Amino acid sequence: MCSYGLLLLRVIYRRHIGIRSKKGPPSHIRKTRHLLALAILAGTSAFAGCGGRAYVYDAVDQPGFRERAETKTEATVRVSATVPGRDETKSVFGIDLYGQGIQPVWLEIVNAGDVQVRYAVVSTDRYYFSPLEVAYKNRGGFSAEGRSDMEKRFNELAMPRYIDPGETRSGFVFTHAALGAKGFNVDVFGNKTLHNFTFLLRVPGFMPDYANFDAATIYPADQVSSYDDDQLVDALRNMPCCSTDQSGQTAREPINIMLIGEGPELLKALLRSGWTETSAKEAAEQQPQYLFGRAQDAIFKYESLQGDSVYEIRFWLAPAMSGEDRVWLGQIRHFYLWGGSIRRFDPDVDNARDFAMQKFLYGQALQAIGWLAGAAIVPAESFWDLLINTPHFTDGYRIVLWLAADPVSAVDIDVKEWDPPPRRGQ
Amino acid sequence: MNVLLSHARLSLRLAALLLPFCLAGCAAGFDPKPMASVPFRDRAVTQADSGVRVTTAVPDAKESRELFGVSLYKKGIQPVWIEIENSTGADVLFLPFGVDSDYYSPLEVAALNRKRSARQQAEQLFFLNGVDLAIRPGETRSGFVFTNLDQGTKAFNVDIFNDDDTWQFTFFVSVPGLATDHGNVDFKTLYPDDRITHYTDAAEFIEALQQLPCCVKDSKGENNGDPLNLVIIGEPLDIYYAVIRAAWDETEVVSAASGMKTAMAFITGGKYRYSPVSSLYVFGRRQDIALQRIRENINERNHFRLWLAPMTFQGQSVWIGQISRDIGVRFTRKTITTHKIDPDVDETREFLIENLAYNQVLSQFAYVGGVGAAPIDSPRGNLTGDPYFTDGLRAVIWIPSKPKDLQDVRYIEWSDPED
Repeated sequence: MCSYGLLLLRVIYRRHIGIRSKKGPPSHIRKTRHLLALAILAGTSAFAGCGGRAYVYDAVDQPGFRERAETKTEATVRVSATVPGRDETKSVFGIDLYGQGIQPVWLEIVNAGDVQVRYAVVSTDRYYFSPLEVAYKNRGGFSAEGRSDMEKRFNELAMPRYIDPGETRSGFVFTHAALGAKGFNVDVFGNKTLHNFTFLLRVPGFMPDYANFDAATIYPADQVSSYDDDQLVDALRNMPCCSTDQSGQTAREPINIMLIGEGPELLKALLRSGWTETSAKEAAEQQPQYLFGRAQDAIFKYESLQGDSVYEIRFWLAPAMSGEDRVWLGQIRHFYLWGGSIRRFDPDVDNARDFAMQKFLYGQALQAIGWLAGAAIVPAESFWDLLINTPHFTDGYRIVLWLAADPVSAVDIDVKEWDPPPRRGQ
Repeated sequence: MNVLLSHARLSLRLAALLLPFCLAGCAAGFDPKPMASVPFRDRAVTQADSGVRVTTAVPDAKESRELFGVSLYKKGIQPVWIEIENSTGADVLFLPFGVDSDYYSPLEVAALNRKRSARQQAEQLFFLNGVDLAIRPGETRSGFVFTNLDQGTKAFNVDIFNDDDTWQFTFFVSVPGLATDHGNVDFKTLYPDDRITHYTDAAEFIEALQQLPCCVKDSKGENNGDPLNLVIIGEPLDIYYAVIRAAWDETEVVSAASGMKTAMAFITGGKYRYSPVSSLYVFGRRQDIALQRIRENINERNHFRLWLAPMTFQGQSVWIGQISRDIGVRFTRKTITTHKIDPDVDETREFLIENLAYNQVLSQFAYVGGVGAAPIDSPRGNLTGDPYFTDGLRAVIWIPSKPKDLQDVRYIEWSDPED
């Protein structure tokens, strides 16, 4: 019925408005036609409401994502959290929210104390979507009743902010989607107290590129050397300068970052600092870099808010340990969009290194940093020299970062007295 | 709307026509001027703290073009000049990430120069004018950080650290070239002294707040619009700094030129951040301050309007305001396009409280009545016909003059919001 109406409107529009003709009628007629066009637009929107489908969804209390909920307790506040995957979200909300970059997070907060507490939604996502905003984005195609049902459901399922003494409240918060691992905070305020809960949850339906990587079996035990603090500097200085092609013969870009910490610490530090995982599928489509005779163990990325700039970090587990901690060698590179669509490699690789160091530092993920000079230096002059024209330039410094399991503020970061920090063009 | 669309189409066509010629070299010659001949540093400001001295200046659009030979502002890039003097006796590290966590790399900015023959010259210019992280003892270093564009007032931090210490300097630098809403209001002469009521007693103050108008009006003062669900208390300058710190942009006064920019942003879904806010009326005048916070694109932003009220509380100025969250654009007869607001206006009010708290610019908050409740099944409408529902409460927000830690934010029980 509705589609007939729309078809009719289209025919009327074509016949009577005729905006396609180049020569165009006199301005007063055009004005009338524009008014008519507006009227038709209004008519169309009225018609769009005449049909459309009903809003259909499944109950929240179904087995699946709720069973994966993790629970944490601090003093008198208990928080459970879980993230439904793409299909589970479709079933609960009847809409493909993941397809729009929206990811619901389910929370349950129990207040066993004697004062009212407040949950701060911005602690989970600073730019969260409001429930009715999500409903409004998805109103297209539903009947008037369907839209109203949808608004009601999003409103009812929203996580409330205030939880009275003795009460348990639950609901959803609509966040920006993270595939793979989802790290977020849940801050709950009491009377001049703050309870901070940090969750790191796996989202079903995403296979990261490191899914099959196993730090325990990659090197035979007798090939891994352990260094004390004094030996470490020399050992790190002697690590390979650059990644290579598959044959191992041709050097490529510099290994300019080294990270010290266990695998789970590394993952936490990366996620806390705003880096995102790469899916196995996406990683397979990229040109691999080689080190220690194998392609990188993992790739992480950071895309700028404007989307015109990407920092990419690749890791290899090294056959070395600093005391009990693993050593990871990394390569950080920067790409930017040129002319709107062409991805260009930024030859200033030191900028990428310094950016990554700050990203970890502001993510409060560092215990200590140290600079090491002396790896393959490529002066800026040889990049600009038309005859030599190297693909990149670098001061040859590498940054060594000790990762922290818990947040560390800048005041408490230890700066190693190794080499003095580098300077541009020197 | 159609007129605007055809303008946009025309510009696109013109651009497409000109493009091949530009590739062949229609761009003006790459001709940067020496820094000494561009006097932007006359506006430099300096702060110092235990052995570290920081001086900064922000060149405007014209000055940036002169300095770098490229129209950086048009590309949404704003250079910030920073000079750091280190007399601490130890190495210190400057962290440009504090100025802008999405700062541009020098060669990325250099790539904006499209004149092939000047490619190397541009790369070297930007590279050499970049900043160093390391500043040795006794040294003074300076350079540019290439940041994302903020007009009106540029607010940023200069963070410096070493093994023993950290330094943080917050700068608010005004950039010439933007007429903002608050720029035209003289708050000193807004009310004669005898019209201002000074409250010290909380009960009387609450009573007065409840008596303030429920909603904004149209220019004739006839129809009620969005609910006035905010009361802000503090020193005017502190309020201004607080909202800028919480990443709110000042809005440009509606004018022909800015109207065009908005239309372009609407069509392309781009991020024109200073889109003018339409006028709403309280106390018989349009808003004193209009601010907005951009989210994903122009269709999604929060609007925030404030009016100075003729009262003080315990010596501090009192403002009444309105906040709404745009969730899309819809067509209306009165304004051609306007923003569809989130009908759950209380949600947006709570967002503001949290946003201020997490930016450490909230000291305490409370709720009072005065808006009048409108339940979800019998919503009220604003001036453009958008429905909204509310518990009828106003949030009363105190802005501190110094950053306040999250856990020290106080909640005062005046009225209790129901979820």
